[in-house]
Amino acid sequence: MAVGLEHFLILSAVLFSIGLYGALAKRNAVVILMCIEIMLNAVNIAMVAFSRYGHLLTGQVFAIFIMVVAAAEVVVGLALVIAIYRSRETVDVERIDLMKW
Amino acid sequence: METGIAISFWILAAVMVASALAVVWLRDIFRAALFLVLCFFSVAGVFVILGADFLAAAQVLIYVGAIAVLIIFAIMLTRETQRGSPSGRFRFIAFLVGLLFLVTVTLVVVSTDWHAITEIPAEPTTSSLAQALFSGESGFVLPFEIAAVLLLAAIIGAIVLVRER
Amino acid sequence: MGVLEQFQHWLLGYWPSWAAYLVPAIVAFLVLSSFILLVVMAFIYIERRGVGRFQVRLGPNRAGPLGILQPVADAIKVLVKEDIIPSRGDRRIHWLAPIIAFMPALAIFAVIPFGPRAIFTDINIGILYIIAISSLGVIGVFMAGWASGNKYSLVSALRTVAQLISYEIPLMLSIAGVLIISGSLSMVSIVEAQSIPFILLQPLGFLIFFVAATAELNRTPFDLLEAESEIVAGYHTEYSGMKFSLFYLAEYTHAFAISAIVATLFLSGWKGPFLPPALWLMIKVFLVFIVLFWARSTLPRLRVDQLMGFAWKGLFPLALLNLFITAAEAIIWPGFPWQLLILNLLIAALLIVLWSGLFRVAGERVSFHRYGRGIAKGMALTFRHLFRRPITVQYPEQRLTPAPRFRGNLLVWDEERCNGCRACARACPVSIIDIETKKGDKGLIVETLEIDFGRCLFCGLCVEACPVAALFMSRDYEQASYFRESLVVKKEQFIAAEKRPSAYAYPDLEAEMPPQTLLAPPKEKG
Repeated sequence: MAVGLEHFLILSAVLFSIGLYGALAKRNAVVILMCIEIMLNAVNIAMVAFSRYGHLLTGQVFAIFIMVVAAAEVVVGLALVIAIYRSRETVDVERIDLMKW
Repeated sequence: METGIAISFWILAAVMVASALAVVWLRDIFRAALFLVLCFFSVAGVFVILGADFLAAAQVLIYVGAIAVLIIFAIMLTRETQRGSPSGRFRFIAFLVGLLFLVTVTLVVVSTDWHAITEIPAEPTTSSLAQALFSGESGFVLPFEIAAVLLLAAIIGAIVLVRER
Repeated sequence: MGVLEQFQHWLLGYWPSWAAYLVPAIVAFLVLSSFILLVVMAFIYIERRGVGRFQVRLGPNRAGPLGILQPVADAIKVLVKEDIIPSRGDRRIHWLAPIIAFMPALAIFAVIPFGPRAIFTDINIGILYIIAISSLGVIGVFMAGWASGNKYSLVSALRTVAQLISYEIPLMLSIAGVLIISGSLSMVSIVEAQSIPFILLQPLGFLIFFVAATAELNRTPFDLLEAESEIVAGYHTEYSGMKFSLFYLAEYTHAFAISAIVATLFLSGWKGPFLPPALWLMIKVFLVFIVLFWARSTLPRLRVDQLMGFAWKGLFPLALLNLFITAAEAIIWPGFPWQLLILNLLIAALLIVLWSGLFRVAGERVSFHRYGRGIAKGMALTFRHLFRRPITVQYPEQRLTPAPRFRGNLLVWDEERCNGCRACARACPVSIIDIETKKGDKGLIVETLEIDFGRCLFCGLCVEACPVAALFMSRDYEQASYFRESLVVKKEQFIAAEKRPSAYAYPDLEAEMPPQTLLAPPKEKG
């Protein structure tokens, strides 16, 4: 059975939904960040698949930009998590409910 | 060749989905992070299948070498491991949202007529990728520079956030 | 095209395609692992012997001729040890960690060219692949540190991340300089581009790469993650047996890989006159490795803050500047003529001197006197040690002569001269000399003589007390016994013993004694 564009897109969709579920359902901020990374990866797969089956490198260029954004996002996100952990001693997003302390 | 790609695709897809599920499922955050690494790795494998060699290396380098390591670092610094990673109140709603998304996208993907070109594109993508990024008119020079500024801003922001006063 | 692909193509004619893909990979893995195992053994041997010579020691030389079987002995010793898993740790991760730590080091060799066509697979992103794969090793160390359930291991794991991430940045930036000149990411083309070795065109890049690679290897000036004196053995404190040996193997495999990368990127890889290419590469690899452990045997370990400061404030800006200068040169002189090497050497020297003037370590300005000349002098000193006679000797076969008036462990008793006066027994402060006499035709005859050397103070009072010069201190310095009783020496043993009197209390004997070699005072320069 030959593998085509649809396979990669559905794989990407499955991965994205798993990430989406995790990002919405989890309470640990670090795990939420991990799930967001999974979602970004899913998008990357779709991008590269389009680039492969459309003979256009723009998809890969976009994937590179997504990686950059992912790196920036995880750096700032983890910095926030650690800063919050220092002041509140927790990374449970359901207990981080005050705007200012 | 075709069967080889098909076999590796199915193996990689299975590993990827299983490890992504493990990230969501496991209560032990450290193990979840390790499965995240496995997931990133299989994504890199999928990139290889798709003929994106440069991106595959970049994927391993950035996601495994930097992002996963940062996440593990954060896990160790936040010492929340005893509590694990419990699910929140919106677990069921989240599951529904995820399922809805999956069903919608799958329907769209299946019902759309993709004008896919099946022959394999030229392999070494590194130089053509560089061309696509930096060539004159159609290039992405400005977005590239903006991305660099974004990274710089992120680094400075992170340092400011976690610096102890 | 690499060896692997050729093998694959050849097999495709005979076997089904899945086998043609699988078999070469397995064969390559086996060949590579056995070759690496051999080289690692050679590395362990020359490092242990070499560090010994740098420290004026002999180094291990017992197992086999010249100690050549020492790595085998090490391996056997490690493998038969009990495999311990800490009860508070995570069993599965503990088991998986050494494998994860070892695999990337092995995987690097897939793209190392041993000759123009002797490469497993010449992928066009070779060097990027190497950087990507080697970043995986951190995860293995992390897993080990975490799964051990030991705070020292965890501290070590955290240090490792900080260190490896910090040094990866200058490492990659210094490689970028090479890539600008060669214009390719493939390892084979990088070597082919080196009509002049890149160490000459990129002296600064080479230095940065070498230092950063040493840090990536966690070798001695940067071995903070297993600093024995602070955090026991770091991430592998809780490892023993087979798993520990895998970590050990991973460390040396990585050292081999890094040496091979340095040789390929900067020392023009397999190129060289007369000898076959693979041999040239191995010669260069061993040279790089020797420099690595030369630095190891000379330089002390850095502090954590110094380590990070050095990476971020020292190497990182220098690597950026180097990249910038190389890029500018690529625009001005696209062909990279050989005249550039003079310019680049000057720039490198200038930049290092200028930058060290701006750079502070722990609030203290880096002085050229201390860090530049100091390191150079230290390296020169250890290098000179190579040509000195080792201080240590092959002990039981080769012995050192103690001082002439040495008070050794066995007394020398002259039966002929002794008149049985028992002055020695009276003088002994711990009363261990037991002497009984009976009347003979010419004075007293010693019937029993027993001295308990288990309690002897070696004060020498008995020798001084002897009126007839029948008792001497000895020059022997070995005393070992499984039983206390055998330390009580009897009359017959005194007679039978080899007589090597010391000059203690008898300075006249000094003249005919051999010169002192044990703890000899340094000769005064005339």
